[in-house]
Formats: sequence, structure tokens, C-alpha cells
Amino acid sequence: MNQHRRIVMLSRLITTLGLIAGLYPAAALAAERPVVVELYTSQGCSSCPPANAYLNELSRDRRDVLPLAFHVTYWDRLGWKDPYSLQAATDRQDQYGHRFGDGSYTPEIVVDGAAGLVGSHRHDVGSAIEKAKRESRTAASVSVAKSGGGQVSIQVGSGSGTGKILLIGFDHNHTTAIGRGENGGRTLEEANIVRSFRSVGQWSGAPLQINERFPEGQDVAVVLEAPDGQIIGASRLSDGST
Amino acid sequence: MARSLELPDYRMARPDRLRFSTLVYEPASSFADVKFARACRRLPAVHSIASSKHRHCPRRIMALARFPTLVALSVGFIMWTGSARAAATDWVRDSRATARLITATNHIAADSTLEAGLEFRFAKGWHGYWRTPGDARIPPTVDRSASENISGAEISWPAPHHLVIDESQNSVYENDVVLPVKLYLKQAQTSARIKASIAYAACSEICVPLQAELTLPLSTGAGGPSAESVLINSAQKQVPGSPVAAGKMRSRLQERSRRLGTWDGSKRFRLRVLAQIFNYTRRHHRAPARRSEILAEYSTGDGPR
Repeated sequence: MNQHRRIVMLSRLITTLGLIAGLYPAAALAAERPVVVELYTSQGCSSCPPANAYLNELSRDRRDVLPLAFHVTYWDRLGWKDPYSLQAATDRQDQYGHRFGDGSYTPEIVVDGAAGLVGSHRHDVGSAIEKAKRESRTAASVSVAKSGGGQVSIQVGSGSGTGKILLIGFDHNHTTAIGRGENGGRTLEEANIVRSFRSVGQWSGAPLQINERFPEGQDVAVVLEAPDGQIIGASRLSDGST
Repeated sequence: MARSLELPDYRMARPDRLRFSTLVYEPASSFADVKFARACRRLPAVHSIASSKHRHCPRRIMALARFPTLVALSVGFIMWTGSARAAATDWVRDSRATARLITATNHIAADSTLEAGLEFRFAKGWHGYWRTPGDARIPPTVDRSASENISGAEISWPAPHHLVIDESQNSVYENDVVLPVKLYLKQAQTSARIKASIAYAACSEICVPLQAELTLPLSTGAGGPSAESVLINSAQKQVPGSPVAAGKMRSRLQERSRRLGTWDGSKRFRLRVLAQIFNYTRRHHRAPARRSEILAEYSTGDGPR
């Protein structure tokens, strides 16, 4: 309990310091991209709620982080069918599993495509986020905006390197009643649930503009992924509107 | 659901040693738990709570409660290592949970059914799931459709342990568990090939999806019991009569007794017993579920001195 409180206080302190630091060289940091935090989870997984709660907090409290909850499908056939599960989520985690050599499991958090961690290990994930903020590669600026006719306009600036442009649709919040029997009435609060995920183009250094139909989901994120799987650019729709 | 708060027999206790006791047992709704309660009585019934001894009581009881299972498993293991392995597949190894398929006979005889079992061994700190739909959870599933001469299968589920994870109730298996499977043969006295594709989960602070492909060919022959039959029989005894019956054993009853006043040499003494049902988490954190305080009067005349 004490330790938890200390972590919360510490994270608040870090957030506050971050805000103060953020105000000072405002122009320089405003252009910085968010750190992409992918949570691989399932409503059928008993070990996942603490990681979900952590992601919910990140979604609520941190603008320097782009948290995305990918609901995997591999628990669906064993019991509970997760209504937000996506085969694309399972496939993406499988690729990470091969890269990191740790296979697929839930809850897993992948920070900036660089490290896979147990999703409920807040301290480890927090450190990985800070490390990513210090060291992450950003190859190009990425932005996404709503354009007319149910379309989104994606812009990737100039830079060096190549990358895949990923268009992600996500919902902000869902409450699902999961309890049955003895756990009747239990609900699960989940934030930033990925509803769709697809590659919409290739970037190879030159500035690029792509128009795509608005993906399934309430909000939109665009991620630029290097061939080695690391994230080298990211933005979300709501960033542009605020 | 009324859970009995009946007290164990305190008359075995020597009153001069009786200061404070902590006894733990589970409501007797399965084979294992009946043993649990009985084993508790076999021990010196009370320990000083001031000493570290009281902590040993539940563990010692648990060890005793599992004793028949351990014996069955050891016997099975000894017999297994010394005999042909016709009635068991190799273990499909995994650092978190291993699995294998066993049968109660080495051969297919005149019966139209075949008793088999799926055996899982979970590493320390890892658990698998019972069939319960009690919450959004992940029990093992079996696909036996690629089998030969098998027309159907019925899985039974031995009574699970109870685990509270993040305030939700979970019915789990830890350590070693055999799920008895009754297989229906298309034709008796005809060889069969059991091919089971098993998907299951091993969970600790993460849940890992695991898969095992188990193939066991069985030829025709004498229908005597195999070395593994003891494991299957033992598991069958732990299958509760109904899900409701199994649902009863979800918590542990803990009692704390305090003798009122000091022992003055008279033949009677009084105990104040606080009986509480706790829900236990894996790390032995507990959440009180129900409590009841009982004032009891005991005679020392009946117990050994």
C-alpha cells in the first residue's frame, strides 16, 4: 500500500516536473511525439486487470504517452469471448514475441516497439517510458487530421530511414460486465481499446501525404514503424484538435 | 449458501497448553477436504498464537490432507517408471505447466468405454483453470476429433482450489491435477488411437497460452488396470457431485479460540471461539467473508492428559 502510494506520488512528481519542464522550452517539446505504449490483453485473462488499470491511468493522465490496448484472440476459444479481440492484435504480438524471444502472453506492454514487459509491472514500464522519452528515435514528424467525407489525412515529414505507416482506430472508454456466478456484477473499465489496425503505406524519407477513410473506432492514431519494428513516429487525432 | 461453522473437537487438547488457537480447514465438500478436517483433529489441536507454531498448523494439515494424493501419485510414478509406457504419452514439457495423457488400462478390452485422464503439472506459482464459467476465465479445451475409434469424450473436473485475484473469485488448479476423461469407443475390442489437441493456460502474474498435441495408440488385449489407473481413480474421487457442490468449497474457515481466564485446575474451561470464513488469495492475503463468535464450554475429562 505504502509502496503503491509512493509510486503514485513519484509518478505525480515526475508528471509535475515534466509539465514544468514542458512549459519552459515549449516550442521544442511540443513537436515531440508521444511514446507508444501497446498493452496486449484480454478480458478472459485473470492476470490482466492490474495492467488494464495502469493503461487507463496512462490514458487519463499522460499526454506524452500514446497508450493502446490490443485485445488478443487466443483466449477467446478457451472461455470468454472478448468482444474487442482482433486477429491483427494477436498477429502483431506474435511478431513482437518472435523479436523479443518471449512468445505471447497477457498482459504484455511493449514500449515504442523496443521492449516487452509484464503489463502490471508499473515500475519497469514507467522506467521504459522514461528511457524511451530520452532515447527514442524519431525519424519524422507525423500528424493526422480529420478531412471531409469521412476521411483522415495523414502527413509524414521528411527524414532519414524508412518505415511502415500504421493507421489505428481506437475507442476511448468501454465498460464491460464480465462477472458471472460468484463474481456477478463485476465490470471491467478499459480505455483506448484498439478497434482496427492496418498498414496504409510506406515512408522512405520524403514527405508524404495520405488520405484514408476514417478507420473503425472513435479516435485515430498513426504510428510510423521502422523495419526493425521500433516506433519512429507517432501521433493521434486528438493531439491535432487540442 | 449455509456454510457450517461447527467446531472441531477440542477435547483432545491439554488444557494447560491451551492458550490461543488457530485452526484452518475447508468446508468438507470434497474428498480432499474431508481429510483436511480430520487431519486437523489428529494434530495437537491448539498452539500458542504467540509462538510461530500456529503458522505451521494449516500447512501441516494441508500436507496431511494431500497425503493420499501424494501416495497415489508416488505409487503411480514408481509403477510407471517400472512398466511399459503403453498407458501414458510422454510429457509435453513447458517450464510453467506440463501435460500428458494417461489411460486406466494398457489395452482395449471388451468395454465400450475407456477411462483416461489429462494430467497437468503446474510449476510453483502457476495455476490453470477449472471449467467454471464463474468469471471470464480460461479452462483447458480438448479437441479429440482426429482420434481413431473414439466416438465421444466426457471430461470430469476434480474440485478446484479457490483463488482471489484482483478481488474476483477464481477456481483454479495448482500443482498436479488429473482431469478424468471417459472415452467412448466406436467398437469394443478394436484398437484405438487417441489424438488430443489441448489448449490450456498457465497463469501467474501473466497468463501464457499453451498447446499440447498428445497421441496414444492402444492395441487390443487384456483389460487389467494400468500403472496410471491409480491416478485416474484418485482424481475421479475428487470430482464433486455437481458444480453447486464444488461451489461450496471456495473459502477457508479459520478459528481463533481464546480461553477465558487462566486454567485453575477445575475440570471445565471456557473458550471464546471466533470463527471466520476467509477468501484466500494466492499470496495468502485473505479477505474476511463471514464471522461468528461462539462461547463454548469444554470438559477436560475426556481428553488425553
